[in-house]
Amino acid sequence: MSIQVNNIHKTFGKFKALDQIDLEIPSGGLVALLGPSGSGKTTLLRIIAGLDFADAGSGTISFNGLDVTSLAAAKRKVGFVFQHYALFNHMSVFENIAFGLRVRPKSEQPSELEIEERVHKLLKLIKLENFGKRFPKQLSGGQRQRIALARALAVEPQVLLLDEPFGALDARVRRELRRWLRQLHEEIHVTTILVTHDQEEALEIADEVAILNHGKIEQRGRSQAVYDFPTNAFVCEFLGDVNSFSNEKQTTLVRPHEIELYRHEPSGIEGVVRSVNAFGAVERIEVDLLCEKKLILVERSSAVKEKHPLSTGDLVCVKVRKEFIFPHA
Amino acid sequence: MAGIVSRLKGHRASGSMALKEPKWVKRLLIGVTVSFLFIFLILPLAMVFISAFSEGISVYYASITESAALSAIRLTFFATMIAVPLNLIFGLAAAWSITKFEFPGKQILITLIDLPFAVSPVIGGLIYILIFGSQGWFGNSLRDHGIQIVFAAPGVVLGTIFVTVPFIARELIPLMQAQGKDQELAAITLGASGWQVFWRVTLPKIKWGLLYGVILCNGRAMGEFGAVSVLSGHIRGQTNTIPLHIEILYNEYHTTAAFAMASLLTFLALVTLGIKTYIESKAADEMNEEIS
Repeated sequence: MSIQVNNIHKTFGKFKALDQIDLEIPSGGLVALLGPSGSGKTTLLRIIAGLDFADAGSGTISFNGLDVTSLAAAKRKVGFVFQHYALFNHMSVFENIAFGLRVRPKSEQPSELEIEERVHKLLKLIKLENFGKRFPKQLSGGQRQRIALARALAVEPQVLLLDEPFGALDARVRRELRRWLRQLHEEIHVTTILVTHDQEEALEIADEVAILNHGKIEQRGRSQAVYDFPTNAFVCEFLGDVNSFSNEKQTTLVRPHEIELYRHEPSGIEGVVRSVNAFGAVERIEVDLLCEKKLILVERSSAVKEKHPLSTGDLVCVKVRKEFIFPHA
Repeated sequence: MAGIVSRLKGHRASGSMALKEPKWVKRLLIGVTVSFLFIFLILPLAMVFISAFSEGISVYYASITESAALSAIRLTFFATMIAVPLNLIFGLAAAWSITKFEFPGKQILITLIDLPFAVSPVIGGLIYILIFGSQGWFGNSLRDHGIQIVFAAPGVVLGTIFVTVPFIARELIPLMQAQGKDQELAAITLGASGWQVFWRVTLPKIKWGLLYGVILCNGRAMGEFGAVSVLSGHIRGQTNTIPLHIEILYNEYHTTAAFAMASLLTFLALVTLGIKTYIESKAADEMNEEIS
C-alpha cells in the first residue's frame, strides 16, 4: 500500500508545524522521517494515521491513490506504535494483541479459535511465544514494544506507523530491536514509516529517509545517497559530525573521517594534537589548526592508528580528502 | 480535596526521606497527635454511641424507627441515590472533555467545578430559593403547574447535588491527566469506536479513582446540612433529612433520640471511611501502574 502526502499544512496557533509537505512512500517501503525535535515529524505521522488533522484547506493524504484525508483513524487500517508503548495495562498480553479483533463489529469478528490462532502466530513472530498470559507491567521495555508491534499487526494494517519506537529503550536493546525490525520488515513487507531523531537508527533501518526541519522536508532519498550527497548544510550536519568552516560566501563542512593526518612538513597545513581518544574501532583526535586558530575533530581507523601512532602535543599536517561546500543564499 | 495524585506524591516523598530526630521529639510529636485525635475525634465519636444507647436498646430502636425518623432516612437515601449517579455522569463527562479535548474556556470550566467548595452551602441553598422559590424567577410558572421544588423533596435533592458537584470530577481530572491519552489513541487506531474505547480502555484504567470519588460524594451527600437546611423548610416527616432531623430532635431536648439518629450517620461515615481506605490503596496502585 503506497502513501501519498500532498501539500499538507499544519499550524498550532502561530507556529507552523508543517509547511507544504509533499511525500510519496512506495508500497512495501520502509521510510524514516528524521529530524530534530519540533521539526514536525511526529505531527506528520499523526496526520497520516488520522490521529490529528491538517489545516482546513490544505492538501490530501492518500493510501494507494485513495483519498483518506477525512477518514477517521479507526477506519484507516493503520498500525500505530507509540514511543511509550501505550499497552493496555489491565489486559494480558494475549488480550492486548487480540484487542483490534475483538472490537470489530459482530459480523466481521473472527471466531475465538481464529483469534487464538492469529495471536499465537504473532507471538511467535515477535519471539514471545510463552508470554500470552503475562501482563505488560511484568515485561521489559523491549518486550513491551514488541507486543505493541504485534498488537498493531493483528488487524493486518495497510501501513505501519512507528513513532520513535525505540526512544524509551536503553542503547543495547535499541540496537537489537533495530536489527530485528529490519528483519521483520523483510518478512512482512508492510509499508512502514518510522519517525526518529536518531540519524544512525534511520540510516541503518530505512530504505529511504526524509529529513525534516522547521516543518519542511529538507531532503529525501536513499539513506546512503543522502549521507554522501547532502543538499544543504543542515542535512549534512544533522547526519553526522562535521567540522565547519565559514566565510562570507560559503560554509565548508568536512566529516572527521575525511581528514587525513600525516607527518609534519613546513609546506602543509600545520596543526598540534590536543587530545587522543582511542576507544573502539575508531580513534578520535582533536587537532588545533595553527593557521585558523580552530580545533577540528579527526577520526582514524585502527589500522591507520597502529601504523602512525600519535599522542598529545605532536605536530602534524592536515589534508582534507572530501568536503561539502554550501554557498550562502 | 487533595486528590489521589497528590496523595500519592506525598506518600513517595515520606518514604524516601530519612528523618533523624532525637527520640523525645518523636515521642512528643506522636503523643501530641494521638491526644489531639483522642480528645477531638475519638472521644466525641464514642460519646455519640454511648449517648445513643444511654437509655437502652429499646429506646434506641424506637428512636430510629418512629415515622419521622424513617421519613428522614428515606429522604436522605433518596437524595443520595439521585445526586451520586448524576454527579457520576457529570464527573465523567467533565473529566473526559477536560483531559481529552482542547476547547476555549477550559480553565473556566475547571474553576467552576470547584465553585461549591468555595461558596458556603447556605448560599448554594439560597440561590435555588431565588430561582425556584415562590418569589423567585420561576416561582409563578412552577406554582401554576403545581410543582413545588423549594421546601419539598426536590429542593433537598437540588441542594445535595449542588454541594457534591466537585467530588467525582475533581478526583478524575488529575488521574486522567496523569494517565495521558496514548492508550485511547492506540485503541482508536485498532478500530475501536468511542464507546468501545470508553468501556474497554478508559473505564478499567480509572475504575478505582472513580469509585473513590463516588464514595466521597456519597459521604458528603448523606451528611450535607447547610444547603439542604435552607431548601428543606424543616417539615417533619416530609422534608427532613437525617442531619436536619437530628438538629430538630436536639433543639427539642430529645437528646437520646438525636444521638440515636447521629449514631446512624456516624456508622455510615465509618463504613465510608473503611471503604475509602481500601479503595485509596487500590487507586494508588492504579496510578503507579499507569505512570510507570
